[in-house]
Amino acid sequence: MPIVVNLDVMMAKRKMSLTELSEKMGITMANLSILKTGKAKAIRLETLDAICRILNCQPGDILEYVE
Amino acid sequence: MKIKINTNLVVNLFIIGVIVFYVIIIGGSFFFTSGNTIIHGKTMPGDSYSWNNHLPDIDPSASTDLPYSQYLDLKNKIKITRLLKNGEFLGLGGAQMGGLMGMGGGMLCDTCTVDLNRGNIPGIKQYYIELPGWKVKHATFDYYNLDSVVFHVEHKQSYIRKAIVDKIVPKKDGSKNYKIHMADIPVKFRYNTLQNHIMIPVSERLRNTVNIVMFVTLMLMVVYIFYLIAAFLKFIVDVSKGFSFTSENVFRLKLISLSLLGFPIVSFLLNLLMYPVFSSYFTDDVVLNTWAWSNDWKIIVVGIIFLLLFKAFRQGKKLKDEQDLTV
Repeated sequence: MPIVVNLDVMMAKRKMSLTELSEKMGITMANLSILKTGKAKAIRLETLDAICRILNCQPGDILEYVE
Repeated sequence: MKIKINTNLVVNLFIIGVIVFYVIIIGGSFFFTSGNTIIHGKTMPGDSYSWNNHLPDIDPSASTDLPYSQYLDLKNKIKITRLLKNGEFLGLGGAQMGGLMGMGGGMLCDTCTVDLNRGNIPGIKQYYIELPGWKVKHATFDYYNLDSVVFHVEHKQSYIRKAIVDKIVPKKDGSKNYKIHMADIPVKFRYNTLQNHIMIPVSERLRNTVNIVMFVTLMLMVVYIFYLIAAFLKFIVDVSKGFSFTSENVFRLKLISLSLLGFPIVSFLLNLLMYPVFSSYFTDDVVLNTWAWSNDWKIIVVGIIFLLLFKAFRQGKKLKDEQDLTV
């Protein structure tokens, strides 16, 4: 799929671990891991909203379209 | 161009089609049933028949002047003598594979008579490969109409007795006169007159070999059927536990549906395959026996239901996977 999830890059920039992010977002580590590894087939707007709020970034920083 | 199909229209048309089909079949049976003797469906009112010869009766008939009990005894004796001549007396068992093939046999004796009170079993054992999927067209015990074919064995040679039209003479009123003669045509097959199917005479050694092969095949089929039943039970247990849309369940439904649909089709094709295999035994009078798969439509209907279930569960699993991978 040409949509790449750059969650790990943003997490590294903000020096935030997966555990900390999942706790702050209120979702399970397993689900967040699916998103981080790029296995997710869909992402809810509220999930994206929570990530952007906690990591202080734009949706474009998390999702990238590559040819 | 994409064609839009209206589901309601298709369903209604299908139901109307089925009703019309049945009305035609039932109505047709009232209108087109003729009380006349039929030669291949060509006769008309006013048609007549001229016999060119008369063959002696295959079996003597019991006199109706006898007291009833004696009449029954004699009739029974004639029937048993005929079964002995045909090599069908006291059917010997063997492996059976539904409507496809079976092993059988019977006592054969051309000159024996049976005294049931003494309990003697005369004759020699004759073994057969039975083909329940094939029968003789218009086969009958006795001679009922001009289309009828009577199988009988005389001096260990099989014959079919039937009427043969030599000449059709048109009459002035448009009807026809059929010039007919009866003939005993020698054939190589034997016939199960009680169950109405073809039998191929074989040696005891071949019978034993085929019996073993069929027994092993049957055992494998039984194991496979048990596997299918187990798959179905596991499917029920999984669904009751809430694990409905799993890849295992989808596979089980696919296996069950394909097996149920495949069984009658394979059975039918194997039956057709019997024709080239035993072509030297078959004559023009041998036709497919519809009885052998008259119940197969039920298996096909259940197979279609399972196929639809498989499609629904496959779609359900796809949706579930998508839902599971939505964060």
